[in-house]
Amino acid sequence: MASVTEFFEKFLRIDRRWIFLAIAIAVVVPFFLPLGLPVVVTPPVQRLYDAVEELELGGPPLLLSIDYTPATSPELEPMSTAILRHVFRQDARVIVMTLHPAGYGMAESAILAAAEEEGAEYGEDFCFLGFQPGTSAVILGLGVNISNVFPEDAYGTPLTEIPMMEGIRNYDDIPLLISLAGWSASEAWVYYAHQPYGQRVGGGVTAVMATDLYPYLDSGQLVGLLGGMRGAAEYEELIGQHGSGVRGMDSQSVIHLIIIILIILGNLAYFMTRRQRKLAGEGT
Amino acid sequence: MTLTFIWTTVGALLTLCVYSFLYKDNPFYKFAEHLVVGVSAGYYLVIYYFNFIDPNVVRPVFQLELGGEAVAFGGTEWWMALIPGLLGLLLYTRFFPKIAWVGRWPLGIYVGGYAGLGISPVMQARVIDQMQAASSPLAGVPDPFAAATNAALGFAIFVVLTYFLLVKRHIVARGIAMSIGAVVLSAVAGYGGYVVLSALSAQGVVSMTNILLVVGLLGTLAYFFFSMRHAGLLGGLARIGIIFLMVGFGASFGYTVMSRISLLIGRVSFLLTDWLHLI
Amino acid sequence: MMRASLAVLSVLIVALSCGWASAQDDPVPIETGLAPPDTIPDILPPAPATDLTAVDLVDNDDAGDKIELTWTLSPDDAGGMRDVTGYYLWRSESPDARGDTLALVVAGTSSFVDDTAVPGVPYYYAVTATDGTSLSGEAAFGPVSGRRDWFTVSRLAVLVLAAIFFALVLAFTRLAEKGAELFVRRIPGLNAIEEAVGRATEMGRPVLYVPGIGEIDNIMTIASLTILSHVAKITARYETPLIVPTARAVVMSAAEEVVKEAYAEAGKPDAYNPDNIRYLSDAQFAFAGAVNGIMLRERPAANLYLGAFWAESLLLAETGFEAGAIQVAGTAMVSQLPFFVTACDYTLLGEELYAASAYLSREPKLLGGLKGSDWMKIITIGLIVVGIIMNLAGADAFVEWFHTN
Repeated sequence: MASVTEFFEKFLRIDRRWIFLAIAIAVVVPFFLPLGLPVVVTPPVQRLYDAVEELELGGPPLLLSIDYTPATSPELEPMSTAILRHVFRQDARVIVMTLHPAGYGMAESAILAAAEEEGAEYGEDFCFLGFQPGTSAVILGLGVNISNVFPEDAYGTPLTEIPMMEGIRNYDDIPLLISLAGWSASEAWVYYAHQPYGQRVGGGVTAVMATDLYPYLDSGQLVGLLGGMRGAAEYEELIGQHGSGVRGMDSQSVIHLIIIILIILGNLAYFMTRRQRKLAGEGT
Repeated sequence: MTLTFIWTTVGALLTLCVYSFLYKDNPFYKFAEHLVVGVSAGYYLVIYYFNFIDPNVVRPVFQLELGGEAVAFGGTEWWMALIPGLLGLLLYTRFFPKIAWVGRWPLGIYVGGYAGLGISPVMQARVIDQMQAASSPLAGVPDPFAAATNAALGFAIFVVLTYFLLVKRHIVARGIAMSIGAVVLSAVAGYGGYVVLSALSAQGVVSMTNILLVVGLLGTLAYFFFSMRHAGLLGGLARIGIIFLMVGFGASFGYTVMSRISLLIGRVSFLLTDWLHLI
Repeated sequence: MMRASLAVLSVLIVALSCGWASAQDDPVPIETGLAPPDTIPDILPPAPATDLTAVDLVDNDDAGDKIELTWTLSPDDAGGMRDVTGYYLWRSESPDARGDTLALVVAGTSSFVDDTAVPGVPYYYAVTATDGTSLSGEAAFGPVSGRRDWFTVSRLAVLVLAAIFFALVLAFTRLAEKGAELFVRRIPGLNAIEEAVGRATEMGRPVLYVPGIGEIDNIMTIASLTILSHVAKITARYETPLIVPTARAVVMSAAEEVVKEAYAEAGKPDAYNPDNIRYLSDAQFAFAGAVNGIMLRERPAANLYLGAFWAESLLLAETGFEAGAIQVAGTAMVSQLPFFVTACDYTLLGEELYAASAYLSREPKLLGGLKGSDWMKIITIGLIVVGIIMNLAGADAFVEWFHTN
């Protein structure tokens, strides 16, 4: 008994750097030895996928707001890649923009990479509007007239000279809007695009923020939601092309397992040592 | 040795500098931290200027051009670019203590404008639509038996409310608390009846979560009610509320762990794949 | 002169009316390539659509740019010759010309929304049926113009609830200013804070009070300073050292004032030590590192974290936990609450921070806000309960009224 308690006491005092090391190993190993754990698709992801699936060939475009920054790109970049692949594969069109200055580079690299891969053409299949500051004012302004907010695209071409923007004036001409963000941008799209204009909004957010957005799913304020790398992996599963989302899932699962074990051990240790202390306290 | 490789190596080394903090604070970490601050400040400046200030202020005002179309000097669009631009410049008066107060004007317009823009949509999104969604927990339960049960239970709640409000002339709160309890009970009971009948269909599961949602919502609201002591029914509801809050915090904590791990995975993937090409 | 102009005018009128008549009566053949080549060309135009009406469409945003057109289908659409393939819609700004083609809709369609109208401009609309080779006569309607409405009736619920909320807050603030006794229950977290300070006194060790890293204009920082004043009064009474590290210069001066005043009020102005109110760093993690250093070096027995916290929350609370201090936290930063709840002995959740501050200070604005939102909660609970009852009873109108989209 004493040895067990001793073990737990030692466990509670463990140098946290050992835990860092265990986590590091757990992240790296599955990259070399993939476990291939299955990815089960959850309803919020399925709903977003279905909404993108409804986009028509050459029809009104998806508005994809890539609002994430490099800091959160491991979780969100797989989402933008998967969604853009999905859009281009069904020959639908997409307008890309960002509400965050640091999202500019992320958005540009994501759209150009996907377009090159799927053979999409600038101006016909997609365009990149760039960045405008002012979050809520930008979102509200797009509901009136896109060209009021973005008089020209990111490269200085007036919107009137971009073929795919012909007849696209405001949210009335955009069947679906998806915001990918590691900050409150997705919520802002709900507030300022869905509420006043009835725009259909889908979201992809970091896992940290997923709990904040869940309430909007049931009420129909969000069409669908991707939460964290896990959500990205599910989307990759749906389009049938695994990318960095699914690849990361093995490491994620292994680490979660380690953390769960640590939490259980930690709690056991806490209660065991507390009982021991109590007994000792009564003894003296 | 391509350019890509050089930049990837720079990125990889900076990543390692930051992770060296895990061992302990050191100059490499400090260097990377300060580099981020400096570089992002410069990057933001460029993005803001070329995406916003140049096309929306500078060109319409000085080159009389907006989005490829001509702007009339002194016309509406010209003024619409000039006035906000000037207001923005006023913000810089804070560098001159004597006239710093002028900077409050644009700030006042900014804060007031944003508050005005925000109140209605946020109220709609966070209160009204949520309230509306919570008001139909059994939406999508088609079974006529369930509907009949619910109607009967709804009537029972009405009776309880009336009893406390009119016959007992009890304090309003007690009546409301009682009726909430009755709603919760009856909803659960109605749902139970529905489950027995429909042998737990997928729809049944959906409405169960909806009922839980309503219970959690009411409990949490009760927990954050400060005008009355938490005793009796209000106390009971508040206790339900705190359980839901804790479950919510637990979920949120779990998601945060997941998020942080994802970031680590992303960096490791960058180091192993993009930099070292090991995989 | 007069005569000449009259002549010109009459010629013009004749010319115009001829044009008008031809536009109205004569079928205009159009190139569509729809007719099969091996049949006799269909030269008979279909019967026209009738009863065209156009109204300003009121939708969510009501920008006045939408006009809804409806018409009665041509008799040849689903009966008669059955050869209608679609309808051409025309829009003009003058009653005398058909104007531009707005759209071609397929047969069987009897409505269309023109969403490109400029608000306030009167338009004349026309519809003609087509069988692929020729156009019928037209049904016309006008003038009609889109109008921007001042008020969107569908969002009345927002206005009503917002008005009620603001009225409640203002009324309670006014009541509090007039000195009315407004009841606010005591927050259990305050007891926890007092207990923690008591324990620190017993152990003869200092109390650490972190007012967050928010600026002075952050409402959480303001609430925190109110609670700091309360804590400072207790530490003054017990003569326990109170350390207040800050991340903002202005917050530091405010904290100095607050603590100094509290010590004076407690009758112990000499016990006040200005060196204990410290500015550490504006940088988030540098601040967190410095506070952690204080925890390990000066070993406070009670750590109080009240105010606005971001990612440094867990760094602070975990170090404090390891150092064995009693910890009480409070913040309205929802994303940080899980960490405080895990690592602290007691946590003031969200609004409790404001409630505690209002309870202690009795400041009318804080009290008014708190009481106002309290009553708003009652109204919300009431509306949900009534909504559920109405919904269960099958009366959807009540819930529908709140439907704003």
